[in-house]
Amino acid sequence: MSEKSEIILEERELERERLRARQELDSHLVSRLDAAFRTRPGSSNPFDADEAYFAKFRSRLRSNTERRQRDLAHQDLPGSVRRWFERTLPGTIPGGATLYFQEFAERLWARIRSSSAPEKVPEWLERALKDLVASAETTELSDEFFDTFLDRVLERIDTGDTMSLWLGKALSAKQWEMPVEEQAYFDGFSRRLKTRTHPNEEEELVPEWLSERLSAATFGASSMEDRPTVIGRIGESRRARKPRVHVLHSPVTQWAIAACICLLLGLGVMLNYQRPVEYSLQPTSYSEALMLQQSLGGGSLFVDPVSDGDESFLMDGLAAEVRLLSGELNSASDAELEFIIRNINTN
Amino acid sequence: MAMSKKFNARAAEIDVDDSELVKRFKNGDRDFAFSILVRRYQERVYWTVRRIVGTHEDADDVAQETFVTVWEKLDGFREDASFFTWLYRIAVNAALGHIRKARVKRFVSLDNLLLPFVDKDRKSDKQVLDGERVDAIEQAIQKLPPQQRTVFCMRYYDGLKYEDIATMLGKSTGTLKANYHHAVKKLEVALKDEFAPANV
Repeated sequence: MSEKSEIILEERELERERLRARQELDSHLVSRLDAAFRTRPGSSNPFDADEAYFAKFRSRLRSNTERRQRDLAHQDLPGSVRRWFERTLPGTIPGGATLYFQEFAERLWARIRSSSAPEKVPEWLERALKDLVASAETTELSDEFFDTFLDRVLERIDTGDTMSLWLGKALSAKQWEMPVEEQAYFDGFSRRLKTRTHPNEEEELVPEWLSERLSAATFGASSMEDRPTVIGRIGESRRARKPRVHVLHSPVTQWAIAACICLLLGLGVMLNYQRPVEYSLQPTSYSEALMLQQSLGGGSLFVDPVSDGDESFLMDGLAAEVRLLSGELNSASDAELEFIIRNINTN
Repeated sequence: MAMSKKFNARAAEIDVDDSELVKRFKNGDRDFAFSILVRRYQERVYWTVRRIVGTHEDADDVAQETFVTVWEKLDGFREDASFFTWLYRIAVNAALGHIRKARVKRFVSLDNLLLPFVDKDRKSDKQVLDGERVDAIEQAIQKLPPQQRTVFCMRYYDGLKYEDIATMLGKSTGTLKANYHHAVKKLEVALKDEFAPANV
């Protein structure tokens, strides 16, 4: 069957499902719900999604993808190689900086070509190295120095950027089609562990407390038995913390928040803001979070003002986990993070 | 002549299948393939996420994020499903991720407070009335908890089966049916007041 026929069938199936969904509902409700998104009266609404909007949309998308391409070029570079490029040069470089890098490029390029995992090195780097090599001049540098240097780089590339096997597998388990909670979990997990495993040139072990906790939560030998326990603990502690939400609902806090909002509203009007202004109690860094916590009289950092009431237990646990592991607390030091986790676990 | 060439090129673009475009993208013809895919699906993606996130600005951000992700990940697309199914999943996931972040951040949004007054100045009374009704429906949908809202929109507006939604959201069909049922009940109650027979 051709793809077009498949698409037509798929469309028909969707339409049938739409009709089925509508049959279950009261006809008045159906007509109102359909009206909301099919006809949009008042087309003077500046936010209407018309042709002009989509033209601009595509243009912005082009800029965004170009920017992402530039970002990705650096992300793709194995961390160890990037750090070697970024590292401070030795005080005295035998033969001078230019020769140092020329020699470096030549040897690295040669070794990358014979590497067992060349796919881990992005194409742009390979091209750059090739170009550098093409313009290289003879050097008088010590072979021993470069051999040691390159062995270390390639060792890292070959072993999956110094990640242990279980970690590499764990990180590659993320798939883009995964439900969003799982993706966020993997992102947070990956980010935290990468930070922990690559803080500097020296191999730094993942702190024991974090390693135990993460492997027990997901990848341990008895992960299936342990996972509900760990997530359950987070979920329980989250539920146990819920009374702390009252910090936000206390009259004093609410008055303080209202006063802040009025002040910001006034400022907004003065500055003639056209864009919507959002007031956030969500800290963007750990130090802000601590300040906020102190200003709220020691309330929980993990206050979630919206509770659906219908989300599953697992989701609650994961959400707490994700919040812990994701960028919200990205700037937290080990000690700070340990404090938070201990705080949660003892709640 | 130039116009005719342009027209023919455009017609050819329209005829290219998604899978062919994906192939071309993977083979290095990224700009051409991607631009057609964007043209083809931008509106559907926009409205899918708009129903979930509620506002135009959020939908705009999420739709951009969706296509940037597609651009970034299309090389690894295994083609187990159709391109649109894959794209739809990414869009829904992006919208849900956005809500998850935004619902913690959003405390007060002036957007919701000011917009109705801005618009009223430009519309006739009839338009205002119709607009208010549409706003009321949108607001009723937006007041649903995120998961109920998402399930409702995926089922009602996008015509997805519970089984497909279950795969995408990682939930059981039983949970989704309950979500949908609760959403419908809440909408009935919310819209009953807004659209009492005397007002219609």
